[in-house]
Amino acid sequence: MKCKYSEPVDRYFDGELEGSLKKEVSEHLSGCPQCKKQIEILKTVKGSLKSYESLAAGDEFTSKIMEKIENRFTSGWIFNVRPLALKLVPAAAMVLLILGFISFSGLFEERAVSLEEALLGGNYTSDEKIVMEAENLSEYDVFRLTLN
Amino acid sequence: MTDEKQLLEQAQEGNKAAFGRLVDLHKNKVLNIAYKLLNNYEAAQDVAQESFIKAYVKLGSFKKEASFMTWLYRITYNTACNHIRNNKLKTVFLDENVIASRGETAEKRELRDIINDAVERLPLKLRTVVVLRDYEELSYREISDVIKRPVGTVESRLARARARLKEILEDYIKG
Repeated sequence: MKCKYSEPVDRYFDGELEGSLKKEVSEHLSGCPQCKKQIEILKTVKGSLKSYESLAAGDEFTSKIMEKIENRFTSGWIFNVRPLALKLVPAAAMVLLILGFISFSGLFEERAVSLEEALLGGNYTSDEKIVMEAENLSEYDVFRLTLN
Repeated sequence: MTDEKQLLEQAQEGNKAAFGRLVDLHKNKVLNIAYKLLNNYEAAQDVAQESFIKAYVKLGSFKKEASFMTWLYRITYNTACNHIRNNKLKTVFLDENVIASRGETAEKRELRDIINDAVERLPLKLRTVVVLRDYEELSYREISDVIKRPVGTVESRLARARARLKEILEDYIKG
């Protein structure tokens, strides 16, 4: 049967216990062969892992990395800018492009034409406002123009 | 201010030489973590290099309150996971002369090999927590930050990994 302290023993071994529970487990260990054996196994596993000599990265490791960084990011200022700015620049460019398209396409322009131009020119759309040049056209003039 | 913090600040301001110094400080740890996760020396070299390049690109997003090493471990872990996902990795063990500790008895070496063999055969998720805890001695909180899982998940994975290793060790002792 598994000891009820089996789980906290692992945390005790890893230094993750504090206060009264730490003290309780510490006292328990002195009288529980099962938990003592568990600690021994944990020590053996940890000791084996740490017993291997570490690998040492060669002398050229750093220079290879710096060379790859240099080759990948040779445009200088673009890649020294913080990532947030890098995301904003293309977004800002897109917004400017859209605004420029809108301003040049005249989508929102209201083109005012004179009544004469509208009736005689035939080059207006239903969106255009026809502006009366009140001083120059009488109702008769309008009537006459529509007959033509 | 510590030397590393100074180098970090300088690197974040675009100083490549400062970043080079950071690589020098951490290259062995990153390489060893990569090797222990991948069990393949060549892949470990590739992953370690790629991890530093990713760190360089993401330097601007590193928050100074966190530990730089933990952040680097996270990048290495993610890069190793991607490497495994994208490649069918064959385990390539190093020459005994490269990694053997000197002055060991034959019995001790055999036990060490059995344990390390067992660790290497654990699934990546379990192997990761064992390596980060028992080899790198990170706290549960730090491991949680590296693998981006709750502390409870770290504890349960560690318990499962150790249960498997315990079975193997008990078989060895009985045998």
